[in-house]
This record gives sequence, structure tokens and C-alpha cells, in this order.
Amino acid sequence: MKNCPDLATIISYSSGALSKSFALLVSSHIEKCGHCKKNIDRCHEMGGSFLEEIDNTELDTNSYAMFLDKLEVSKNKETQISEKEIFDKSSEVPVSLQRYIGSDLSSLKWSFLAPGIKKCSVKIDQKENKHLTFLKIKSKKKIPEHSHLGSELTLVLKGSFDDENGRYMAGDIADHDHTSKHEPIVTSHEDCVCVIATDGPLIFNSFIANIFQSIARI
Amino acid sequence: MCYIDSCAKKYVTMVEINKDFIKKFQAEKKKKDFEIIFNFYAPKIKSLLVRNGADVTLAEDIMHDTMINIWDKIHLYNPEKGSFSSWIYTIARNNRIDLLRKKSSQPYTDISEIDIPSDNENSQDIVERKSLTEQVKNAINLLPEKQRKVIELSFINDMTQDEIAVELNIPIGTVKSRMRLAYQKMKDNLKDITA
Repeated sequence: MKNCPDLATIISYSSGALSKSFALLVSSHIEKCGHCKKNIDRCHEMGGSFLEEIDNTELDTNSYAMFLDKLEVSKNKETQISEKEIFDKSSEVPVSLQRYIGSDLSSLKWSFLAPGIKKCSVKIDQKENKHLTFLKIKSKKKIPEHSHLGSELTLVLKGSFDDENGRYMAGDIADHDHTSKHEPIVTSHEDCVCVIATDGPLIFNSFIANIFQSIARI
Repeated sequence: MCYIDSCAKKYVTMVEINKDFIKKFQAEKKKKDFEIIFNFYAPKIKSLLVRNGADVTLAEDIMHDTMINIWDKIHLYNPEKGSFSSWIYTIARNNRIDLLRKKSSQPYTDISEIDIPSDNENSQDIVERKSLTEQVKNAINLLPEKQRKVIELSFINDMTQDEIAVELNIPIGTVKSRMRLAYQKMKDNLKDITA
């Protein structure tokens, strides 16, 4: 894998401090990246080490007895719930995303966003209005130059695109924050399908693109 | 049930929860053995939750759920893949995300539950696997204070990069660079320790 998330993003993923949409993209990337998996393993060791070092908080009286009671209750529940999700590890859709979109990319319901660009928004949390944005972009199509108010992670699922930092292929992640500005262009012969997580709106550097963005709400 | 009162205040050390003990527990799954794991980790998990903003009642409740998960998933723990404490940490972290933050109505598939091989392990990695937590602890202690602080706020206080920036009154770019430096330094310290 050539393009991986920033180390700071990996650390935040390991500590559980990333939002759900960002965490989903990072775990999708790690499924195919042994290098990041190794970094995550080391970070988890840091978490384990901090856990061992943290001061104890006193438990309730008879805490272990209460735990054993709850354990019995959970064992009874377990026998009632036996349905298990089955994931397709050979799919182009990472296992981490399959719970939300299934294992077939072509089953996504695309809507027109701009000439050569289709969009599909997938809710990842029913309680809160959190979603992931999938984009399907035609070959040679350029996304207008933009920067970000917050952070943006883009995971390529199919095809490839280039920007100022290089080429992003399937499985790669582009990790941008408010300091970066980029103008991605699809370089694969096939459509490029990618999924984006942001924690702030994109800022396009042209007036027309800004009007477009206010309608598209990316 | 006499062991509940007599052992509740027993001081459990990591020495007791060694590889052989865990292997034995995985094979026999005795409640009496699990109590040793409970007595060591439960007060720490509760502490973590209280530091993340849970009141003591909620923290006790989530801690119990976490210990049930540990009981249920104990067969999945593989010492070749990492230390017992890091495995416990990831379970506690996931419960914290799902139950404490209540940001999610559906848990995400955690990477630790998907079997993904790391890059080919070299001899350095194999050495690292041995008593890794102890070495990582030493490596963290060697970090400069500013770098250690950002890592600690992330892992212990469950703070996002933005929240750390506000807490320490530094730009988010500085938070990120301190995190990167801390990781690299920790990795280098590990090499020094294992050399």
C-alpha cells in the first residue's frame, strides 16, 4: 500500500478517539495494509501499557458477585440470539463497510451530482445523522481544487486518482486536514469509486464550485 | 462464594496473569481464576471510564459489560498477536465507544476481530512480542513530557486531536506532529530496549 493514513490518525484510531465515519475508513484501509496493521498493533500495546499503569478506582461492594449474576443473564440471552453476520472477505468492498453497503459496489443507488460525478450517501448511524459519502467519478474527470475546514479522509475502493501528493489506488487513503489543498483527477480507465469522511465542509476555490457545493452538500 | 469477600481486596499483580495462567483459564474457564483477572483489570477499566466522563454507577455498569465481553471472547485471545493487556484495552475501548459515548447505534466491525496478517515479521518483531507491554511501558517512560502528554490524553482521556489542542492550548498541527514524534520515538526506544 503506497498511501496510508497519517500516523496521528492511526494513533487516534487505536485510542478510540476517531469519529465513527473516520474509524470505518481507517479500519477498511488496515484490512489490506500490513504496514498500518503493525503500527496499530504497536499503538494497542501503548493502550495496554497505559491501562496497566492507570490508578485503580474502587469497585462497588460485591462487584464480582454482581458481575457473576450479569454473566448468567447474558448466557441466557446468548442462546436466544444466534444470528451472525457473514462477510465476504474477497469482495472489493472492505469487510468494515459491508455492514452498511453489502458486498457489491454496484448495488449502491447513485444520484447525479455533477457532469461525470455521481454520489451516494449512506447513513451509518440511525440515532445521529452520520453518513458516509460515496463518489463515482468518470475517467479523466477533475474535482475542483478545494481545501477543508476540518479533516477529510478519502478511501479509494475502485480505480485510481492523482493529486498533488501522488497516485491513489484501491485501498489507499488520502488523509487531508485544513492545511492541505488539492485537485484530484481520475487517472484510471474505469470509473473511480471512493468513499469520503469529513468533519468539516470542503472549501472550493472557485465561485462556481462553491455554488455547486452548497447544493451538493459535501 | 467465600472467595468474593476474601479476595476482593487481594492485590493482584501482572506476574500472576502470565501466559500460563491465561492458557489455563482459556482451557478451563473457571470463575475462580477469572476473579484474578477481574481484580486486576476491573478497577483500571472503571478508572478509565470515570476519566472519560462516566459517573461511578455508569462506569461500574460498563465495566461489568466489558468483563462479560472478556469472558465471552477469551478463546479469541492469541498471545502471538499481542499482550493480554493490549487485548483487554481494545475490548474496553470498543465498549467505551459503543456504550459510553452512545454515538453509535451499531458497533463497527473492529479490525481486531478480522484476521489480518501484519507485514512479514522479522526477528525484531518476534523479540518485540516477548513481554511487549513491559517494554512499551519503558519506551513510553522515555518519551519527552510534551509528547507523552498528547498520547496520554488520547489513550486515557479519550480526547480527539481537536480536544487535545484546546486542552493544551496548541495548534492541531502541533498535536499531530507530537503524536507522530511520540510514536517514532517509542519505536526507536523499543529497538534500544530490545537490542
